[in-house]
Amino acid sequence: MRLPLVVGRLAGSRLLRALFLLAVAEIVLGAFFSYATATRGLLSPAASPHVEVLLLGAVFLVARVLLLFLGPAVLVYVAVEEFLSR
Amino acid sequence: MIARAWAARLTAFAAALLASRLVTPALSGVDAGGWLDGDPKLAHALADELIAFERSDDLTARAPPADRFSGEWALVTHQMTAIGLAQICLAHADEPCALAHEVTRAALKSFRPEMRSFGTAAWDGEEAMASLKGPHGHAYLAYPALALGMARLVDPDFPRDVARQHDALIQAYERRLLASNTGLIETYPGEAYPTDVAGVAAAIAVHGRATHTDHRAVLAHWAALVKEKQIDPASGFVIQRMDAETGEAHDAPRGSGTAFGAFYAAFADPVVARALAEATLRHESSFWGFGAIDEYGEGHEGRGDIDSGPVILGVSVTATGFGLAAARIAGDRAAFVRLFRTASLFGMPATSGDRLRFRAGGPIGNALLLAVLTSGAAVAK
Repeated sequence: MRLPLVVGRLAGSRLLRALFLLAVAEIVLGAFFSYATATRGLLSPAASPHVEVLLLGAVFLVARVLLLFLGPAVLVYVAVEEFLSR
Repeated sequence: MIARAWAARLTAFAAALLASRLVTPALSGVDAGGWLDGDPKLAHALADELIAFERSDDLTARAPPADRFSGEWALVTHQMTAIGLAQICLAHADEPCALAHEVTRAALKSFRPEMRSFGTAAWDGEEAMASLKGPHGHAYLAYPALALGMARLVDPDFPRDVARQHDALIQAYERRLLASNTGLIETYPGEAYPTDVAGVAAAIAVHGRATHTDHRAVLAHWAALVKEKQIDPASGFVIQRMDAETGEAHDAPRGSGTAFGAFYAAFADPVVARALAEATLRHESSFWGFGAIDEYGEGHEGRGDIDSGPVILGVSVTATGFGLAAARIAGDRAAFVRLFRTASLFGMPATSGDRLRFRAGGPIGNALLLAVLTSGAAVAK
């Protein structure tokens, strides 16, 4: 009987809302990055950076790393904490 | 009540750490097993991306690359595409190679005169194919020579006129390498790179398999001198750059050259390949289930360059990428998975329809990854 209550409270969690926004940002940035790298790499063949692609790549990488490392952790933290504290 | 709340938070934090440690590497390396076990879907998805690149590249005007590095990148992109596609065929050698035409197309592009204009410029206008009887090494041409050999292995319709040029180039390499008492020939004047010469040995070995020519003497000569003169005893890494005549080191022992050298050596000599692969993997740094290869051997340090790519926290992009080939050579599944997770995290793969590409790498990154992720189908036994 505890589970539905836990699920309901999870939906209201600020941490989960932040994670959801991060996931949306990662998807949007990934789409832009895919488009930008369809014709150009991060570096030119002469190893000089394509600055705008590099910047977009860096922002996308940060979002990707945060989501990959923090995503599972936040989900588990919120679920376990909620389950145990009720 | 407060104690209970804190106990819940601490337990949740520990569970969160465990989840991140288990789930994050698993998500990043989800395709590692497929690549290692030769999943044809993955290989063909990346191959299709490179075939599409080669077709679009055909539509652009031919012009000599602007400088040495642009030239090297263009040459390596076509060469590694040819090698990767050929390896896909050779993994199913009992079937006709559906990619044979694409292999030959990429290999021939890597062999175009304008692709090697950077080398001609470095040798003050001496063109490699016009000076085959000369003493200069021109080892950079081993890259297309290996691609041509792979194309000849899989394509029965390989053009005969190019095959004759390829035979002459391999003959010149064989003569130059046998005359060397360091196991090195020059890439550029005064510059010899053991990795490039491993490429020469690979090209000779694959030529032998494609044409049934006996090159065992030169390959044994090269293998003996790699072990004797080119490997740093402390680290097991090969010296990145040396003097071809004296064997004097002009650079440090480095991971990028060693891992790349292991990839090439696998075509020519299994003992050298294994030694270089094991040295590469001894320099793996790992964190949270992700692996990367150190760029510099013990007692050496330095920055990144065109060979290594960026060096961050001591590990390099090239050493880590070719470390995947080293892990395949050494049969180290766990190392392969850790290195693949890193390549996947930073390579940022994306699928579009049936095609797969690593968004951070561009065509050269995709070509290199296709070659290392499918490596092993044409290795020396």
